[in-house]
Amino acid sequence: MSLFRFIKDGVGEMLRGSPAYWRWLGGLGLVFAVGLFCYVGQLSEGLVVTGMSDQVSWGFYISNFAFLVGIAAAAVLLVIPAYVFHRKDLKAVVLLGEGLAVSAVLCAMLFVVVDLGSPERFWHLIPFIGRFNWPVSLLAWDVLVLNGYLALNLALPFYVHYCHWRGREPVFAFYFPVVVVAMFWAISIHTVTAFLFSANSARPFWNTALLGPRFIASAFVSGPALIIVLMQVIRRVTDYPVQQGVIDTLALVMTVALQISLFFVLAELFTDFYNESSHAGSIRYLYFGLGGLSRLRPWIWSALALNLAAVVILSINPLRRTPKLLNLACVMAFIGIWIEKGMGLVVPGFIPTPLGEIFEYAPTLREIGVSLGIWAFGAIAFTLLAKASIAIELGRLRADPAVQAPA
Amino acid sequence: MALLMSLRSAAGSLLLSMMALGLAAVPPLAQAADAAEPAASAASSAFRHRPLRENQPPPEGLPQASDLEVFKGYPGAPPYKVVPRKQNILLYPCSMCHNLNLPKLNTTPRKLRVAPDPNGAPHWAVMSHGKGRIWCLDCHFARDREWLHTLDGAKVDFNDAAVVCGQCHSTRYKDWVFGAHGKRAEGWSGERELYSCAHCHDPHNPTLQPREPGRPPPLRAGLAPMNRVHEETPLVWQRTQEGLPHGQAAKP
Amino acid sequence: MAKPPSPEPSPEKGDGFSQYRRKFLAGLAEVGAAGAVAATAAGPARAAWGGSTLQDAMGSLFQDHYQRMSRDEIQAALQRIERKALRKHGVEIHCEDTPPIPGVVFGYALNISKCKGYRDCVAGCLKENNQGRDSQVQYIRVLQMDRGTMNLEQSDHYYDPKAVPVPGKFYLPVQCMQCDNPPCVKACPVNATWKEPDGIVVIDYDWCIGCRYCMTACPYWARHFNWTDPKIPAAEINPNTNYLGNRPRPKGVVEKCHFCTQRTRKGRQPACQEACPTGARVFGNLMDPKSEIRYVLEHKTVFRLKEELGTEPKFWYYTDDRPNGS
Repeated sequence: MSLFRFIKDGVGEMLRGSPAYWRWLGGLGLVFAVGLFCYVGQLSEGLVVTGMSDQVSWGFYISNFAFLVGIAAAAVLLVIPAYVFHRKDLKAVVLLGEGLAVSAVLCAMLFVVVDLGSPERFWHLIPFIGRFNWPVSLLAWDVLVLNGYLALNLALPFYVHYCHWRGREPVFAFYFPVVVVAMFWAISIHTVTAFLFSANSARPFWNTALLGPRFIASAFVSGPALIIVLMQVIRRVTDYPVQQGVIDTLALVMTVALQISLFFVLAELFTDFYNESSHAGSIRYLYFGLGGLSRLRPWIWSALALNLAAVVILSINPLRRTPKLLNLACVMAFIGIWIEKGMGLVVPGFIPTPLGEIFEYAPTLREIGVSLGIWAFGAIAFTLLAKASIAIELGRLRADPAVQAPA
Repeated sequence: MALLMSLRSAAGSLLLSMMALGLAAVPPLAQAADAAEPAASAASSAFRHRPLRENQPPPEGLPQASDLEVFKGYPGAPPYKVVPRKQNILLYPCSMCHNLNLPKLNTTPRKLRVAPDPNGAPHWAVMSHGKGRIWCLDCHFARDREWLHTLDGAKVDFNDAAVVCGQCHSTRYKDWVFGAHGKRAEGWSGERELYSCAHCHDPHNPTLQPREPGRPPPLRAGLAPMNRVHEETPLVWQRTQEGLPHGQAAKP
Repeated sequence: MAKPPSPEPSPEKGDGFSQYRRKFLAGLAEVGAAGAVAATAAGPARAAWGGSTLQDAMGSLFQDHYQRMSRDEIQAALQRIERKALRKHGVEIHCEDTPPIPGVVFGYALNISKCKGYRDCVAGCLKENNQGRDSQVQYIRVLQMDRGTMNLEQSDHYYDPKAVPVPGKFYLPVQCMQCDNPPCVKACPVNATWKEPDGIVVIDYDWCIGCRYCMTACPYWARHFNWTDPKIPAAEINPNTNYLGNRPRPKGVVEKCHFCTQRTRKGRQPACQEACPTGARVFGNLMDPKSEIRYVLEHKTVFRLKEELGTEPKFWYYTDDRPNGS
């Protein structure tokens, strides 16, 4: 019974807010509605409304999927210093990180759903009812680990918040094992997503052992970049205390990860271009163009420039400690990794095709509309979850109203 | 140092003497060609051309002069029928005309007159099979025009034309019998029916002419065509023509 | 080489559960149909739901995987396909479930000395297999290659000269290789594609969810997707269809060459072999030592594309070289 009241309290908190809060949600809702409208059109006409083709059969949707899985994995990054290194300041924001993980995973799964040609047949993925090709298919693995990750990141904060709402501490023996599992699971979701790509010996651009490490490294850049910005927003918009130590630690993690990530890019460039075989067709298309076609070339060079500028700022301690510059670096790195890991990874894997054809891809407006709608959905989800979480953590929601802190 | 120098000179003189020995032992090529006995010593034959005839089996294995090797078809060939061809021949049966008062039989290979010449043949009379090295009566039986014949004079029905073609085109014929050439009509299982040679190759003008291809594959519906530049990447020998450095294309 | 993935479950395993699942799915189908019928007002029976009636659409949606369906369920599915074709195209088609022939494994060889790039095979396949005419689905793609190289990246897919063959070029038609170690079968998350006992890699078009992971896995670019509803002119529909072969496909599913199962499982040649005027294509049973395909493989110099990937394709290329010992 109290569980029902807990949920009622939480949802009530989500639906309470200042006019600015409602403007924010309203704007996001509008974008989501546009996305939904575009998706309905896609459902009726088929995926022909996108820019994908038999040659480039995965595009903008899967690019965003790969990127968001990285965000989701990195969101639980906060857990490691909080629990393994006993950092109290990070512990305070772990729950928010898990809320971000939930939103990111939901977005990632939505991107897969909108990419399906026959989404009404999703039930074919359910084990025993449908036919789930696990453990052979990497996509089956991905479905499994993402759903498990979602469950973990819903269950754990739910339990902790419920305990806090009841006015007691969560039982360490209950939640700590789950935390440990979540740490490993976070790495696994992104490794599985990397393996999804690198398993294909038909696609030499992806079929490298370095893809898994590249994914993890770039996730540890884009995730903290987003969290740093989000934490500062929360610090400004709410009265939830976010210690500076959180920002500093995340910035340091991001710096090292970006340095490693750029080193991996260098390794790829050298290995592919020193003795250039036809396996380097994709990377040549990406960086220099091939067959007179070079649509992605400006994008990847911009991404490289953004990442290099970001790593310079981050690597120089005084610059990293300047909030404005740190935020600039975060934004640049976020966009740079989004390009490099999204369109700069998924699309060139298909060009040239296994039969040597150069065929380009560009997302259509409807594709972009659906994608923006999903991002808006994620933002809404995080906003709602954060709203309730902050209220509970600040003591404003309690089972016993007498103990409640003033709003 | 001195040791090395002496070793080097010793090796050099040894090599020279070996070469001299080898050269002296090589018999002239003309003699080797009609020699029945095996080749000279191994050391001297290293540089000598050995004609493939020398791979022949020993004399007792060869057929005797009185035996005539008769072609009885290929052993192990799967059974087959040939798709009849006669019904496709326009002016058939030939005896419609070749029993009347036609000019006397002249078996000299020559260029025949053809329609619309009033005294010309109404059918194929110009041969481009073998670029003039083959003429009509090499395949058509002179005394009975409804038949073909083999080089040793056996009569062959028009439907079995493959037997005649296979005399010269033996590799193709063998491939055709076993299924690596030509086309099997009907199904892959069941009775095997093969299209006759003449079904695809006109014996009087066998060269297959180029023709228009089917349409190129379409783009996916709704996609704009790409400004693809089909780079004519020069191949290795095109690049190294005219002594150009590797990697540089030859000038057109 | 890695072993192929585990075979499909035997009918005996989990018999009790499969009965439960069968009843569950059938129940869902009925509920869905009833709900859908109740929800719609009595309006004119349009060809909505992609051409099916609502009841058929629900039945099709909750249809089980081909390898788990009972004979009756397969018959019901075949009838749904026939009804849908009638409503959508106005054409009466016949859809069968042709089983594989025991003791047969299909192989295909193509003589590149003979191929002249006519693309007759492409056209024949299109007509035989009811492919969408505008959606770029063509199971066979003919590459025009330069003499002196086997580099596929220097091939021309869109050659359109006045006459073929173009001097200095040769032609390489590529289609599904029906690999014995198929990466696409491993990739599919729902087992919608699998290798049949006669060696053909087939797709259950009513089970595929359209994720296109198999397309990324295929090294021969053999799999194609229905980005839109395949449009077939009614007059050109081939009415002799089978479930795993050329039955009309819905949008949003992957399809590919299946060596014309509707023909080859009845002893006929695939449409591409029949269409080729030069006799470049040799098709047959690899298990029959006297077959033409076996003669080609044993006596001609053959090669396969991308053999180094370990996919073990069953589509070979050969030339007119003279066999040893003949």
